[in-house]
Formats: sequence, structure tokens, C-alpha cells
Amino acid sequence: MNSRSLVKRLVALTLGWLVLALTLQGVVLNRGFQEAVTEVFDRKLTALLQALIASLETADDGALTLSRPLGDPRFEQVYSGWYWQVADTDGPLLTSRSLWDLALPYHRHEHDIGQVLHRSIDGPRDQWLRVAEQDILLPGRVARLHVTVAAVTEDIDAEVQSFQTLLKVALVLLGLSVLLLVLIQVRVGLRPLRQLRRDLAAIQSGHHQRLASDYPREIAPLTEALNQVLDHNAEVVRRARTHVGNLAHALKTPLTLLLADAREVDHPRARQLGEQVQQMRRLIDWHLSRAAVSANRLVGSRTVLRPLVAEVVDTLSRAFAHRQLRFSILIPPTLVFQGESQDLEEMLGNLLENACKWARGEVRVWAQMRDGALWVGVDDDGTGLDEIQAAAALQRGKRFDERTPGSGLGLSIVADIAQLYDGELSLERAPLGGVRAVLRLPGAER
Amino acid sequence: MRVLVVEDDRELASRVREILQGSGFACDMAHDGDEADFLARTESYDAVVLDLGLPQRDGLSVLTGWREDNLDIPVLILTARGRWSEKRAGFHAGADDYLTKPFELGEVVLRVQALIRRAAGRASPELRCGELSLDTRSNEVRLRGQPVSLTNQEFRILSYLLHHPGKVISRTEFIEHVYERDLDPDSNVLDVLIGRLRRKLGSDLIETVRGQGFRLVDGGQ
Repeated sequence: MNSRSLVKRLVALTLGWLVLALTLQGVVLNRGFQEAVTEVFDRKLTALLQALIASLETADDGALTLSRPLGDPRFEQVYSGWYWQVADTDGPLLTSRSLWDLALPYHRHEHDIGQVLHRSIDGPRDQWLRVAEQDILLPGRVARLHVTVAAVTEDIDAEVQSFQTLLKVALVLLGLSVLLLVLIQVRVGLRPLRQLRRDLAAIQSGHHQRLASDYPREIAPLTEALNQVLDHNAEVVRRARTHVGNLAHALKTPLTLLLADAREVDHPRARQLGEQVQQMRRLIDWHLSRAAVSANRLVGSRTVLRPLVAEVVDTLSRAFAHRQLRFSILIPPTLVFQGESQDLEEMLGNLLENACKWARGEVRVWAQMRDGALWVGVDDDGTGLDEIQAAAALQRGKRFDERTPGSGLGLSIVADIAQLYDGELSLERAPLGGVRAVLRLPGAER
Repeated sequence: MRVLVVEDDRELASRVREILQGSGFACDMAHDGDEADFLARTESYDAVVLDLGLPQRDGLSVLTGWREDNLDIPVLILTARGRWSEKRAGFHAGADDYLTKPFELGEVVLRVQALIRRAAGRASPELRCGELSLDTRSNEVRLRGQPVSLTNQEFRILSYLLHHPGKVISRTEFIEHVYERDLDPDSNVLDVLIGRLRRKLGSDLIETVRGQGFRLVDGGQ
């Protein structure tokens, strides 16, 4: 995943290009500077060479002398790195004092007379020398003279080195600032993608149904396609539910007739048929609720608990108006069930309807967040079930009191739905005296 | 007691009617929403058994219409859709009880009896008037603790009287609540039945209010 990060890809690309470009630039600038410095140095050497040549004289005895010494004192210090030399084809004729017993290399007939040449050579004591040289003819001499002025490149090197340091610092700073800019740009540029990720998370947690429509032009086709997929998904789920529902409901009228037929005859086979019909009914109901619940787990949803409970209680207090039950709702308004309102309504409707059937005078609904889960309880003050009956009540379709009307399916459907949400239903004795049904469900506080 | 059974499946409608008649109810049938609406608005019923999945007009909208027009007959809804959200819709439309298919036919009778009792302001399944009692669950009539054997017609009349003790009930009201729509008995039949009831239960139990009708009186008072 990381190796395929867009940010890394963009930054790596920029970084590669940046290093290459800056290095190249550094090399070119360095070369240019070095050449410029060397040229200045060469010009200085040429001037010295010219001065040397101008002061060359042939003495009466034919020996070469300098009419005037070169001004620089470094030509007098031994091995100072500044040298001059006049030679003919047989060897040095006259050298600076600094050369002492050594000689600079010289060449024979290499080039035209009067042409000044510059090159670098290895000098005494491993000194790296820059040389200006010229072949000349002196009046009164047949052989051409090879005049050389040399100087160590220390100064140039130092200058070049300090320039290089400066250059490096400047280039690295430039590189860093460009990199920073790129990072900012990538961050800003990829912001819609992060927004998309947040929006998708919001859809999964049920805060939104679709993606917003204000994405940049480059991402809009993607989000539109996603929205289409989401819509299509919702539509498919809706259709599947309708189809399953229609099939199940169409089966139920014939089943009622079969059941009536079975009850009419007093025969073991007839009783068996009745059992089979009840079994079919249970299966249909079970699969029906399962189809409705599990169909839509891709897109999350949230249901605020209290208004829904209030609505269920309102409905039931009308339906059980003749019983004059007292209802109390002890639910903080912030509690949210992380699931579909239909499923919550199915669970609470069944539990509350059960409680209403059993209660003598009071039904209490409460809820709280504990250990990261939502706990919803329905208490009644009825006769109460003992634990064995409670366990049996959760068995699919088992009626735990034949006198109270109802299919007996309610509780097992509630348990099934709770299970599909990774929750559970448990029954215990209520403080009011009757049954306390407790649901553990995924939930949150608003 | 007269009940309207609204169910588009004719077979099931007949079965429900049979069992209701067997339990002493006069029973009419309707097979679609419009017919049900017409009958409920023109005839006098003590309860309606209403299937929700009806052709032409679905049961819920028919029921909503009745409640909007203050027609407050007790209604037992029959439906294949047992989800709570569907039940809620039924209760909100004004249903008094709810039965999910497939159901035991006997359950329909129990629920209808309970609805009628409730509408008459009686909580107990046993209706009493002096020394006379009727257990609505078993349709057993007892006088001073002794079972009394009644014909279906006699039972219907007595049951209606017991649901409205002390109230004067006109001949028209009897005919409306005790007989099915297609039966139009002449008033002699009613006199004959009342006479038979008086012979079986004692002559002072049912009082004739001249020019108005009949009344069940508490013999003990």
C-alpha cells in the first residue's frame, strides 16, 4: 500500500528530477567559475611573462641577464611555488632563485614564436603549477628561447573551493525549498482525496447516504460513479427486500388455509400437517427478517434511539389503551444505534409489545452506553419468567405462555436481528418483578 | 353480534365466516376494499376483520377513511406482513388489534370477542347479568351455575343483550346486529326467539318496552 502511495510517487519523482537538475547546474556553474578564475590567473601570469621577457638582456659575454628583477618577492623564496625560467634546447639558462637547483620542464619547437601558452604541470615538491610560456628570439641569439613563468594554483583552488562551498549551500537550500513547496502542493492537491476518504468513512458509519457533489473536475467522475454504485446498491437492496417480502406474503394466505384444514380433522397426520405449517411459517418469518437485515451492511446507518422508542411507545399505548399501562422512557437523547431504524424498530417493537402483553401496570424502557456498546432494556411488572422459560423463549417460535396471544416468534426474531449486528438479547428478572429483556447493540453517543 | 369479514381470498374468507358463525356471530363478507367500505358505512357491524392486502383499495386506506369519518367500529387487521413497521402503520391507521398470517382460525374468534367486549367496556371475558353468565371464550351460557343449551339464533340474541345490559334494544337494532345482510326475517321471528329465551331463562329476564324494543334486566335487583 505504502509503496503505491501517490504522495510518495509524486515526491520521489520531484526529488529525482531536482537532484539531477541541481547537480548538473552545480557542475556547470563550478566549471564556469573555475574557468573564469583560471583565466584571470592566466592573465596575471601572462603579464609577469611579458615583464620577464622585456627585462631579458644578453650580456657582452653572451650570457643572459635580467636588467630588472621581477617585483614579486616570492620569486626569491626557495620553493615558494612562484617560478620563472629561461631555457634553450639544451636546458635552463636562467632561473628564478626560488627554483634553486630544480628546473621546470621545457619543450622544444612546440609552437610558434611569440605565442603565449597556458597549461598546468606538476612542479617541485608535488606543487600543482599553472604555467604561462612563450618561445622568443633574442637579437644576437640564433636559438630560440623558451621562457616560462609558473605559479602554484593554491589561490585559485582556495577561491574555487570557497565558491564550491557557497554553491553547495545555495543549491541545497534551493533544493530543500523546492521540495517543501512540492510537499505543500501535493498535500493541497490531494486534499480532495482525503476528503473523499472521510466522506466514505461517513457513509460507512451512517452519517451520510451519498458523496457530496462539490469535488474537483478530476475526481468528480469518480465520485459520481461511486454515488451511482451506492444508489444502485440501495435500489437492489430495496428490490430484493420487496421480492422476498412479496413471495413470503403470498405464501401466507395458503398456509393459513392449510392450517385451518389441518385443525379441522382430528387425526395424527392432520396434527403433523399443522406442525409443518407452523414450521414453514417460522422459516418464512426468519428468512424474511434476515433478508431485511443483512441485505444492507455496506452502507452504514445511524438511528437516534429516543425518538424511535417514543414512537413505538406511542403506537403501543394506543394499541393497548384498554390496559391503561404506564410507560416510562429512561434514555439520554444523545444515544445512537449504529444500524437501520427499521431493524431497531423491529426489535424494540417486538420487545415492547411483549412487555405490554405481560405487564400488569408498568413498562419501562431504558438505555445506556457501557463498555463501548449500547444497552437497551425493556422491563415489565408482569408475572416474570424463570430462567428455564427464558432460555426456551429464545428458541425459535417457542411460546412460553399459551394464554398470552402472540406468535411467540417475536423474541427469537429480536435475537436474530441482534445477532446480525454482532449483539445479543438476554432475558432476566426485572426489578419491577416481571421480565427484563436486554439488548446489546453497536452504538455511540452523539 | 355482527361481524364484517374483509378478505380477498374467498376460501379463507369463507373459513373465517364459518368459524365466526359457529361461535354465534352474524357474519358478512366483502372481497375488496370498495365493497368493504360500502358495507361498513351502510350496515351496522360490531366488529370488522380486515385483510390489508386487498384489490382496488388496500385495507389501510379503507381503515384510515373510516377513522377520519369517526366510524369507530373495532377493527382486527389480518395481514401477511408481520414486521413491526407494518404493524405500526396498522395501529396508526386506527386498527384495534393485529393478527399475522398464517393464524389459527380460533384466534380470530378470540380476538374478535375481545374487541367487542372491549368496545362494550367489559374487560372480563365473562359477561354477567344477575344470575345469568356468558363465557365469551367457550360461548357457554349458565343460569345459576347450570349450563343452558341454546340454539345459534337464541344465542346471538342473548349475547347481544348481554353486551348491552340495561339498554333498550329496538327490533331494527336486533335485526341489524344479529342477522346477516341477505337475511331479512319478519319481526315475528324475533318475537318467537325472545319467547323461547324467556322459557329457558325465566320470564322476567327480558323485558318488553312497549313500542321501543327489549331490555335485559338484572333479576337480582
